Amino acid sequence: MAKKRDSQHPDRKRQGQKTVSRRDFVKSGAAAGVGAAVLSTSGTALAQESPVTAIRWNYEADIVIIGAGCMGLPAAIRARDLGASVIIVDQNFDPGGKMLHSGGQISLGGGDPLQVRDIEGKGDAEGFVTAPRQHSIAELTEDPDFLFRDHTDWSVMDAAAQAPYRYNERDLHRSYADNCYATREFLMQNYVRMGRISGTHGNGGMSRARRAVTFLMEGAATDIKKGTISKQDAGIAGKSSSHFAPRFMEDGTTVASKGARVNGAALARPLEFSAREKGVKFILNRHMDEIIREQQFSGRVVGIRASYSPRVDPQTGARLESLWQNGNIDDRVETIYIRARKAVIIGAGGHGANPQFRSMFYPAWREPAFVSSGWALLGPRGQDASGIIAGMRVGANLAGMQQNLSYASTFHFPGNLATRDPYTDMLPGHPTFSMRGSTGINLANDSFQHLIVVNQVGKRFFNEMLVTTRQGGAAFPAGPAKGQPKKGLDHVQLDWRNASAENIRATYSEPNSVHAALAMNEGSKAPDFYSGPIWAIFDQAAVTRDKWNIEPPFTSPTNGFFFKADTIAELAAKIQRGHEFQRVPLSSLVETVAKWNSYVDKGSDPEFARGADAPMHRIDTPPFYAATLYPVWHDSYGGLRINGKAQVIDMQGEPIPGLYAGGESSGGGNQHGLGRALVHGYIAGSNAAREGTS
Amino acid sequence: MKVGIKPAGDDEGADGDFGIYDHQGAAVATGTVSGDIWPGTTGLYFSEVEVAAPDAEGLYTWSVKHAGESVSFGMRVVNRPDYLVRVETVDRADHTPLTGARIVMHPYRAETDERGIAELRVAKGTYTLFVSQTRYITVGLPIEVNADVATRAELDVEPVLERN
Repeated sequence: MAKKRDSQHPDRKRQGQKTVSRRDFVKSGAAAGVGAAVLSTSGTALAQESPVTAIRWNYEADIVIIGAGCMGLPAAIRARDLGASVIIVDQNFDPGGKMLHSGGQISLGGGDPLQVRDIEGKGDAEGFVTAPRQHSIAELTEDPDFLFRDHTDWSVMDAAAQAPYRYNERDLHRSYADNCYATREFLMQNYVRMGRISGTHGNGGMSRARRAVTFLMEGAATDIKKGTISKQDAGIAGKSSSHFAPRFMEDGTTVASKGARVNGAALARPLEFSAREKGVKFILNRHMDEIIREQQFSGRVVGIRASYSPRVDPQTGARLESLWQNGNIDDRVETIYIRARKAVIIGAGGHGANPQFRSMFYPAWREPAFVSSGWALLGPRGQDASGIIAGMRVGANLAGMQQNLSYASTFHFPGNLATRDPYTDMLPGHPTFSMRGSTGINLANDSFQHLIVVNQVGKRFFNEMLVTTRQGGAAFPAGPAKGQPKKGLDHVQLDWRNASAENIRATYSEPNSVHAALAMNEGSKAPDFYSGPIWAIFDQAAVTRDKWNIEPPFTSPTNGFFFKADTIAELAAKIQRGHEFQRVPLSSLVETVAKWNSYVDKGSDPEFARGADAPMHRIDTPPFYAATLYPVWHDSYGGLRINGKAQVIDMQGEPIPGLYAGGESSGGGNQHGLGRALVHGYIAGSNAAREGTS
Repeated sequence: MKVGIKPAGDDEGADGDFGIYDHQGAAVATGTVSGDIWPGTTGLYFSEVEVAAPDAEGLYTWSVKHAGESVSFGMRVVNRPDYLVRVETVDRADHTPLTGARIVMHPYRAETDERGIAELRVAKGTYTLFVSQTRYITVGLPIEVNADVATRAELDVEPVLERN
């Protein structure tokens, strides 16, 4: 009997040792930024001599991390804890990435320390968490095996008939489940305070409660060690945010105690504080352009090339500066090379702001008008897929590229009018507010009864009452609203009935409004057929009736996302003149408004079935208003394939030596939010620090 | 009826005469806009005129003519509203009255007062009675009116969508 092979790729090793051709090397040399002198040597010699020997490194450290977000910061701290020297490079002027404007919700589980704390009925050592627990002991009890099954459950279908767990990489999620306990503990050891476990958020598993929200306690001054934040730093409702917290921090009484203020700033700033305290070096304003490997497709990863990417206040012309400076290396030369003695870790975020990349999944998203969440905060080069692309250039494989479709808010309408950055309700006070110019008019679903929504030619395309509707992510406590036949503890893992046609028919609730918004219309032109901007049209009566604040800072008279006019025709003309992405006239707008008013008179809408779920209101009281209603690509799935050690995997299924990745730069993990990236960071930092020195 | 005229280009003031024509093209009223500008606008001159509604209920399209141009507009004529509908609106959680809630029974509309109460006269018929208020979930109640009627609506606060 023939001996069974362990590998499906018997020639893998041979392929890995393939001699590099001159053509390959020329590409490699050029990509590595080395000069013509190297390229003039013979092909044979080139194959044996790495072009990286010609590089003059500007800096070096054991570990170089790309991105100071929710993957990079824990990776840096963990690596420092294990004795490695660390440099973090970030394209933005301030660390934190998307974590800084997030809700601070961390779903882990598998019997993590906070689940145990709630089971035992205990609070925290500082006495901040005094709120009662929100779940029964049964809802909190599990182990890593149970969590692993939840995260790889083939049977779960969400309310959009997508399977969010089926395609998750198994090795990665085994490791994830095994590291949740240590990661939660690690966070708490690094000044991160978290409240009671409260449900589970997006694709964090269907069977148990796993989410805790980060908080700081309101106090006289902001003091990370004491766990306090000043009122000014936490933000004043409806008035200001701060450099510390770009979004107003919400009340956290129910998860901690009176005076708790919650959101991602209570995670990002403590991690940043801890990293700086432990000696991590930050090179900010620096965009990673290339990962440098000994040969393009073989050998170790030895460093990166990065270019200067300062952000400048458009009003003052001054460079934006980070909140804290200790540990910063301020180098303003155009290009630098940074050597990594042990490893490079990619935590550069996802591809949500790269129209070319994201359109691989959905061609309509090639429309450049629409941005990724945190556009102003992160700047024009945030979420640009650069980490993924750089990994691909040194031979990395991809994973989970279809999983963008399996999370309800990957792309959606947040319902925030009059801003290009509708996901983030930033108020004045953060240095990047001037980039967006307006907070936006944040409307609840029901407020959409007061307006109509039109496309770039001025035509309605969907029932406005459903435009911002989205089904919830597939997560505990499951149930029909999340696409499952059973709720809470009654949900059964790996049960074929979860995926039955009968259940899908009963629970399907995909609203599809964003797809209608992105559809081609009379203004779409070859070759890209952009759908164009989306406009909410309303009148003064709506503003008065529903008590909207349309004054600055909620709108801006100059940023091109809000217009006011005496007539509808004048409004259409102003939009075309004043909005960057309005490429064609809104030639149908006058007719659309007249038609809408006739529907209101009838009390029914034959086009999009308004009138059954909410009252309709005429648009006939001047002045008239137009505000953008932009969809946003929030988070992204699909990226570099990584294994359970967070090592980047090549096309042959082998780890690329010295290269790690995680968070939104990686694929194969359809879990939404911070938990996935934090665990990846912890794993990557642990393993990278243990690498040998090159 | 209020008629507004926006002068073209940089003209100051409107050349103010206009005529209103019914669905059969018959002139029903004429008017002249004053020098008053509609509140909140930069140059929409307006005037208020009284016109008689058509005798029969239904949907009509009339037009306004001014300076050689014509703009149409729609209207709905209803039977005489004979019956009184009284709606009391409260917050379901704490039963406090909701002031300024919109009560709509197409085409009739009213707003609740400080007691959370609105009254509107409607014609006999079958309606959906909508109660909506800022930051609350709209309620739609089927209602048949063939006599005076009183009802109560309890509204739930609309949950704030998570940003995570």
